Amino acid sequence: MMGLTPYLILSAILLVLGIAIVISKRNAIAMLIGVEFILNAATLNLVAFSRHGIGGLSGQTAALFVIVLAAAEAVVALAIFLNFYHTIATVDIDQGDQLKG
Amino acid sequence: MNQTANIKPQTPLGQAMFVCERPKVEYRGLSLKIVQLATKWGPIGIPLLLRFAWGIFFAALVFVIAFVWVVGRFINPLLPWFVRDVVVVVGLLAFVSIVAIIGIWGERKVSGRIQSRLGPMRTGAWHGWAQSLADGLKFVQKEDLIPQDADKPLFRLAPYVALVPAFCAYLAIPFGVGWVFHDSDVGLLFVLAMLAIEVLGVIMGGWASNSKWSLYGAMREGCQLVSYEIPMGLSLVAAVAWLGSLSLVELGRAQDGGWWSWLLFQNPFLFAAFFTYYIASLASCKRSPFDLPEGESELVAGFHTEYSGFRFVMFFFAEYMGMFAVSAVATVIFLGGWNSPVPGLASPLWFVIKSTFLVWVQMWVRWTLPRIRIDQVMHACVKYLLPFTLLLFVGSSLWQLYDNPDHRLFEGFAAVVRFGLGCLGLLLLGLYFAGAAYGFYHRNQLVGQMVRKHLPGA
Amino acid sequence: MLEAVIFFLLAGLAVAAGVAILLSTSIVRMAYWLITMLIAVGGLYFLLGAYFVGVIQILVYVGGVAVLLVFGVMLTSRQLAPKLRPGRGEVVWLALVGFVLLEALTLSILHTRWQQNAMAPANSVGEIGRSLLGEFLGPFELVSVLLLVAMLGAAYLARPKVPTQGPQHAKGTTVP
Repeated sequence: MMGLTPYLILSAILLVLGIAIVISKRNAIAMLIGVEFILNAATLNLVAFSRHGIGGLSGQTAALFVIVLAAAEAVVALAIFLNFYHTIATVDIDQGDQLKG
Repeated sequence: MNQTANIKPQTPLGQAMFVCERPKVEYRGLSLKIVQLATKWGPIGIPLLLRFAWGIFFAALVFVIAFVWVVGRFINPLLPWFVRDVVVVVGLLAFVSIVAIIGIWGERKVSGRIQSRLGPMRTGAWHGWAQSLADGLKFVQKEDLIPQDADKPLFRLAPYVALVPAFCAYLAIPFGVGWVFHDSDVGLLFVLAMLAIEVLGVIMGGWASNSKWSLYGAMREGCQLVSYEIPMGLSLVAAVAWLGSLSLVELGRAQDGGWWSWLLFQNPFLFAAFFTYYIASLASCKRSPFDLPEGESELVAGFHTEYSGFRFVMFFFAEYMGMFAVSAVATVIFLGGWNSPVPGLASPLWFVIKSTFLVWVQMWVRWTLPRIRIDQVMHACVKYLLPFTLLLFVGSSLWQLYDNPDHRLFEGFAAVVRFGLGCLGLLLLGLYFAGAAYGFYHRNQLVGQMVRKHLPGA
Repeated sequence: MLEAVIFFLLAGLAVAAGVAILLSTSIVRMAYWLITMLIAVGGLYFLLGAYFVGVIQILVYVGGVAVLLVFGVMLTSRQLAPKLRPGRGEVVWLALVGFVLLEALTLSILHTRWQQNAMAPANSVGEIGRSLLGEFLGPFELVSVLLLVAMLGAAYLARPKVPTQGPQHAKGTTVP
């Protein structure tokens, strides 16, 4: 019988991987991928608590909210990246420094 | 000066342009074995197989029925669960392969009949029934090409990503009460999710081919899928809200008791939702008039331009399996699934008949309507289909709210409308069969008339 | 036993996907590794008995977000792909920060006494529906408004940008 701990540790690993991806990549879409990792780590936590914890189904409901928010976030972020690409012809976020004083 | 003039053009550019070597072909592994076996035993085996084709076919049918009966009656209760699972999965695989093989042959026959020709007639004993098998044998022997600049791991992976989810969708589709691999709470959503993954394989293959035709096909597939998932889901949600379950077995069981209790005839909004679902499912299966991802007249073959041999067959199988899967979902949700038109004769046979009819209509549509442009595809979805399905969902919910004994007047009206819709459905089906019978009876005269009308002097 | 085997398979797949993304330089490969991770996590939801969340994960994430992401990659990675490999100093810092964070999280997870309940919640779909329209009605409505705003915002941001012509230029080119 598996308990809560393996899921939480997996979630922690996914979170750290996501943060590492966000930090290390310079491509905007790769950073979005890292953000998806972080959100999935959080969702996995919620669902694991809903199964093994004492919260009942609230965890699964919250996980649904996270999935919906992630979808909205991805759509808006991609629209912004496309704009970014149209403006300066690259998705390297270090190039987007035109507003620098 | 003379010496320099005599020098032949031996520049690297010239070599690259004019020297064209045939690539070395390496047959390896299973493919090689199959080719060897086919060339060794084919000349003896295939004529024998064809000579006794009908006998073999009926023997196999009897064997399958007896096997299923024996397993279900005696063996299944004694065995552990995973043996049952393995048996069911193997049975599903066999069924799905038969669907794809008959579907490919059927498509060619249907296209032939619609275009006033015969289609494949020679392979096999009767009406070219073995054409798909012969095609499969040919495809297995073909050279397995991978473009030099392709993204090779993704190129190799893509057919599997297309084929495996298309099969997984069948794990949740019920053929009857108890005739399902796993009756899940979320069966309907599972089928939709698997069909959504299938498209990922198409996009993967299109991108990995590193060819502009493939990439165009993949891009079209992506935008078409993402937009048509929504009207498809919304029209299904209208049906799900009416019956209050996401389990496909529950949905089918709730429509027990004659054609007037099928969901299609419950209210006008659901009647329309069936057609919107059907249109959206055509788009998500890449069927004409939405077959832009593989538009032959524009994109060579679309996303599978660079595929050959067995990988191409896998894409083809995935397409026909997807066609049957969406038709099966439409059957279970709107057409009463395995329930018979008159109560009391429920059988998986009804399910197969109805789904096959819907697949046939997909073929009919494909060979009748012209392909539309990609901007027309998107406009049709976002401007017309999406608001219309939203309206259907709201209308169906309101209808459900008022169709109860508290609103006596509306209940009577609803009963009349339901009766009218049922009659309309029967009328449409009767007209269809009458037309088909008339056309079949007068088939020679009709073709003659058409030839005289359209080809004067023939 | 079987549950543990499936868990470690799926968890290994998810972690391998993350590591592969960290090491990869091709943005399309990254997108497909992301899809691998999403499917593996969806499988974990099935393992946890959360069928509805698992199916929604595959339907929305893999069928929607991932397709959109691959689409965005195809639209933007034509040329001038930025060098995706970080410098050596960055890698050292990254490893240090990641290790410390992971260590802190793991230690705190292992040293906490969790209140566990072995009972699985039953009949998930109906109960989730009831809690969405009961207990969580406020967040549900907020999320629907947010989705609408996100849709409109994305449509506004991604609208075709026709180069606007100046009035005197337009006057010269208009055909009566």
